[in-house]
Amino acid sequence: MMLRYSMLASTFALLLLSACSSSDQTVDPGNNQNPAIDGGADGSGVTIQVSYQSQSIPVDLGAITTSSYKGVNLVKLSDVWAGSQITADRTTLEFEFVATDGFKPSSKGCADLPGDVLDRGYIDPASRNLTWDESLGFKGCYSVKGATQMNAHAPTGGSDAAAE
Amino acid sequence: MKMRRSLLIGPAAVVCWAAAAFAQSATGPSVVPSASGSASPASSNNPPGSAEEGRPLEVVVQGQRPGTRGTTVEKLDRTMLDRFGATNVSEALDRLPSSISAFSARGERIVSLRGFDQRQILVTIDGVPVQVPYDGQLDLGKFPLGLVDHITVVKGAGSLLFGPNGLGGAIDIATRRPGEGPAVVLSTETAPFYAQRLSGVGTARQGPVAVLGGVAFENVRYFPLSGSFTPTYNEDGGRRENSDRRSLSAMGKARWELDDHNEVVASAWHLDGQFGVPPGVFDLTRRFWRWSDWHVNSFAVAHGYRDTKLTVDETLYYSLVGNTLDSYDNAGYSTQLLPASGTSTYNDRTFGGNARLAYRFACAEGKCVTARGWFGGKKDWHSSQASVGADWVDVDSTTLTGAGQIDGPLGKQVLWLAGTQVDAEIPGRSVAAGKPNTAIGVGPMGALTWQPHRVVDVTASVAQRTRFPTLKERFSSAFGNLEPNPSLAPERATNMSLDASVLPIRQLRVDAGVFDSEVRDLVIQVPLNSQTMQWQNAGRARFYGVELALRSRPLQWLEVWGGWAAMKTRRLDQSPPTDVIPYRPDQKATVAVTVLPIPVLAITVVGRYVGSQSFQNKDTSQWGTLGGYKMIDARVDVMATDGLRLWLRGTNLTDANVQGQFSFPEPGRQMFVGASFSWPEENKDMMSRGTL
Repeated sequence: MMLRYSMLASTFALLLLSACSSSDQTVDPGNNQNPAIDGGADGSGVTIQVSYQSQSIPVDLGAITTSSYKGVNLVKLSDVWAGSQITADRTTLEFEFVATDGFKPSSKGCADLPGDVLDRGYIDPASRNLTWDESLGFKGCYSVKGATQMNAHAPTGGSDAAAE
Repeated sequence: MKMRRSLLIGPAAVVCWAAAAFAQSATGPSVVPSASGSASPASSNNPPGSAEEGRPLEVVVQGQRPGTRGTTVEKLDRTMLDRFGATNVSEALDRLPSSISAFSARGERIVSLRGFDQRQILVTIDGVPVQVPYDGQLDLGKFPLGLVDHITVVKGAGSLLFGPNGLGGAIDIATRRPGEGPAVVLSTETAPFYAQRLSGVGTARQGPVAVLGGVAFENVRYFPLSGSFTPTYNEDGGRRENSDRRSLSAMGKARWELDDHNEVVASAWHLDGQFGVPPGVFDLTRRFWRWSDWHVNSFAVAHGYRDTKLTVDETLYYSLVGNTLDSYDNAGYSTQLLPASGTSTYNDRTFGGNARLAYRFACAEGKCVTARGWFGGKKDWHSSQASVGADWVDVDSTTLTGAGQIDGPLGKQVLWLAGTQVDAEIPGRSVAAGKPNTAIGVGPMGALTWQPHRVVDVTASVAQRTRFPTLKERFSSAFGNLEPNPSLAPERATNMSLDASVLPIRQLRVDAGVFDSEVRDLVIQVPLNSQTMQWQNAGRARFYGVELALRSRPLQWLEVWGGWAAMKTRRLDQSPPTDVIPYRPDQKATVAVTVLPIPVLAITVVGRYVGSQSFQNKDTSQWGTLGGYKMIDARVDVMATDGLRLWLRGTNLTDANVQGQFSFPEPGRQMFVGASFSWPEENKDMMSRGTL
């Protein structure tokens, strides 16, 4: 019986010991730390080509102040437009985004986006992946990865992108 | 096409029925060696020569046969399921060193086993395949343990004669056999104010007929996060958002013993639930999802014949698996106005049948040669609607399997086994350009067991297996993010293992095994462009490692169960650092110690360690690492009176803040109180029970 209780006491001691020791997990979240193909981790040298009518201006993402979205430093698309110094009012235009390999949302039936949502859209200054404020409820086709072009044009009178 | 199928299934069924009929006329009661080698008279209810064979709607791994030794086969009985403190099948499997499951972005707990994911594992309930035919898998985290009697896990090379698609093994979830065990078992458990579970099982027998019925109900309002969870933009801690779950499951089984050799069993299974999907705590774009309907209905009828030489059974089954997934605008989970919101519905069905036979002959010195066969076919239908008002998508596929195996002794110390399984898939309706091709997989298997001493055996086994692509892998467009690939070919795996079992003293069993599996034509997502992926047979992978298990009851009041597995999983078609397979821990260990200071009191402590895991962050596409973690569970059981057991149990007692998958934290500390009542009374003395 003595051995039985000493075993029981050992079990509880083990339990207590485990409870006292730190058991939280360490996590490397896999955030963007690697430089992009043609630039630095902070976006310096990473560009996106902004076009409207006859104008086409490369905008250095590293030269634009980032905004925090859910604790992640991203560049607002409205700031990219401002950085291009194209004087047209973006809220009167529509925008398409084109990836490195030529992918664009319209190739999946997703209409170009109205310019007034650019202040709720973000581009990662290293990977150039697009993120949209989740309150917009956009479909996945708008989360373009590796966006290299941001093309503005006058509204075509097509369907409202947000309703697609 | 229908004629081709009936040409294959028909003869198999006829052979089995004819064999049974022949055996009925040709054999009678006799004295034959039993599985353990001792001669004993045949009894009418359980002919000894057939004792190691499964009865209708039962899966029995031939424990006395080569290829099923050591760590290759594990059985979790009711006592272990209770002591592990799990509440659903996935959690129970997660306690095994070779298996892992954790909350995913879909709120599911999908299991992996020795590196293989659940699509590559055959899962059955009472021997009947259970899966969403479209996905090739089913969330076992939605199956409460209330109605489960035991779970059998067969890994790698140890699986043959179960049916198609068990590339990396098989898991059978068994419910109780009608007419056996206590007539009534009632059980309830609660975590005060947020979780309740109730279950009841009753069985009765009148002459040759036995029936069993059971109901289980689960209502969980939320699960708590660890106190050390740091609030994020998506989750403020405390009660995990949208983690509620409510389900009702019911089953009925009936068994009719026609005579001393024949019995018929029928079963019906129903599970219906509603489940929240907790959103990722770090995700830049959350999903506000709920499974507003998730149901499984399964019906099976089987006939079995057993005598001293022959065991035959035939089973027909029909299952309906469906769900409705609602995607909402925001954390209010009430409106669906935004573009990404909506409702999608699955209505899937499977109809199938199989026949098994085992014939023992050439018996000498207590050992027989046994020839076994397994023939089966099933048809899967998938029907889905991506959003309300959209067109329904209908696809289907037929799978046929024939397997033969023969095993027996070679001298006094060696047992041998050889067999082959042939699977064929005949694709049906397609929704993409191009019709899939009929595919055939041939899977030979061989094993040798050496028994130099009665307490030692060593088994080497090798098996080749095939998995046909799921309908989802062939046809899914994932809202435009995937390009369908109807011509996808099967995956093929070669599984090798070397297992040893030693019983150095009477109350200690040690199992050790090394395993090595290589998967060719691995179905993986390949980018077609920056936004579109396609499932292709472009991968190759290798899973290899070592596994140890120890079971000991050195004293009547002390039980120890322990296991440890170390594993490497590598994609052979890629170079570092992208050759890793996500969410496969490098090692895992579980230790359970039960102390019974007095016969009516049992105290169990279960410790788990899960090693570090790699994963790919979906927002950044960069690889990250989840560090290793440990968790401690404990429970105290008291037999208050004969038949009445009370318990208090706690999980994650150290309140560790752990993510099983990145962005999806596991529950923090939880405490439950429970009671179960069984009649006729369960023996108060818990020392008389145990896992050994």
